[in-house]
Amino acid sequence: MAVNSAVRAKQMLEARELSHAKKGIGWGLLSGATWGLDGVILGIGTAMAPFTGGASLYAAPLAGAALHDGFAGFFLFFYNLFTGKWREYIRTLATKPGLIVCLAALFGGPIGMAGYVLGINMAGASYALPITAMYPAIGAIMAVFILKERISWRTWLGIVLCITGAIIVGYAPPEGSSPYFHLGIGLSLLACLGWGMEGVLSTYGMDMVDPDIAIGIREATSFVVYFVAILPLAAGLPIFFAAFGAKSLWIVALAGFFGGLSYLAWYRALNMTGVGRAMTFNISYALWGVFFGWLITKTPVTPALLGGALLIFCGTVLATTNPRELLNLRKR
Amino acid sequence: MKLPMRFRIIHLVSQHDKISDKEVVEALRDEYGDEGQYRKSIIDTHLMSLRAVGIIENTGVTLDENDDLVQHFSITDYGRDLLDKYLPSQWK
Repeated sequence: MAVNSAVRAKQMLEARELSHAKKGIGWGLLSGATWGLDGVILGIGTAMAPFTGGASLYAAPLAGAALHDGFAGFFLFFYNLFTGKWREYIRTLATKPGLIVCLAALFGGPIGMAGYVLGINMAGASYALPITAMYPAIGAIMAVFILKERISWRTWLGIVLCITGAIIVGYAPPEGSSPYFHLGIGLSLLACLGWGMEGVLSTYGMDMVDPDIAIGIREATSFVVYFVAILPLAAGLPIFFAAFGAKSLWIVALAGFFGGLSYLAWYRALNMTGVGRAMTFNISYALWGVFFGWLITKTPVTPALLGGALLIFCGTVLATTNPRELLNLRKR
Repeated sequence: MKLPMRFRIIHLVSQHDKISDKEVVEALRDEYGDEGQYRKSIIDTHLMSLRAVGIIENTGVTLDENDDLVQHFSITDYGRDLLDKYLPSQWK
């Protein structure tokens, strides 16, 4: 009898741990899907006034990004208020792991996003997008060294397929050379490093910080830095303020809602499935972007888009299979 | 100031040779019992995540009188290192 119950307890434990790992995969897939939807909606919003003007080429995209992160942070705060976690913001910020999350926010929000926007403007999307799309590989390599994360050869293959697919989906023919071409390439690399670093640092911080609070802090920090540092430098404040009262604000707010949900799902997945895998799921947004673009804005699906989407699908499946690998995320 | 709940769970496990999930829930009641986040499901998720990343380890499982699973945890060397580095001084 006692032996029986011991065996049963072990089985129940295994089932519970497996279900935890599977939930992590679910969060990762949700993060990719909502990020794709977010991108399509944000694209609609920022194609309208006042985002079509601006003192510089990158003032409007940065103002849009600031509003997006601001709304996402706002929605996340309400979510945490609703789940009874709001007191955790201050408690967490009073600890060093909380400050590590803030540092991760700087890498991912302003540094990653500004590098991405400026890189596209200076070097052209055909060079900047493939470079920035490599962030899961950078993140996974850093996770192996810094977090001692276990990543199987199948997951590596999945990462490579997803990146290749994202590059094909995002590819645009070169538009002629810009005088700032090399600076643009450098800034794209900075974005890639920034996003990779965000994943590793925030996962390290989240070993001790609740992911729901970590992402709330991340979005709020990102918004504040945009508002006090990036927007004044990029002459983006006039557009930021002009957006209040414009119809496009509501569309950006809706994008911010899906962005908040996507980030919440991403941070949970980072914590539950590890950096390498969560980033692979996250980059599947390129696939979802094709789908939602076709559904909402009637963007035509070309053979190249389909091919890229198929690669992303295969890569995601490779990274998803066998949740048992997720029972122990790190080598210790 | 109180520690964030997840942080407090790590601290709590480090103070015992072995502690069960049920005992963790009970021990947190005085500090966090009046907050919405004080739910067994939330505390269980923290414990599962902390175990998966190697901060705490599972040292055994039993079934209670209602046939529910009871897990026992203890801190790992990695968890102790993190506490040494990051636990605020007033908690040491």
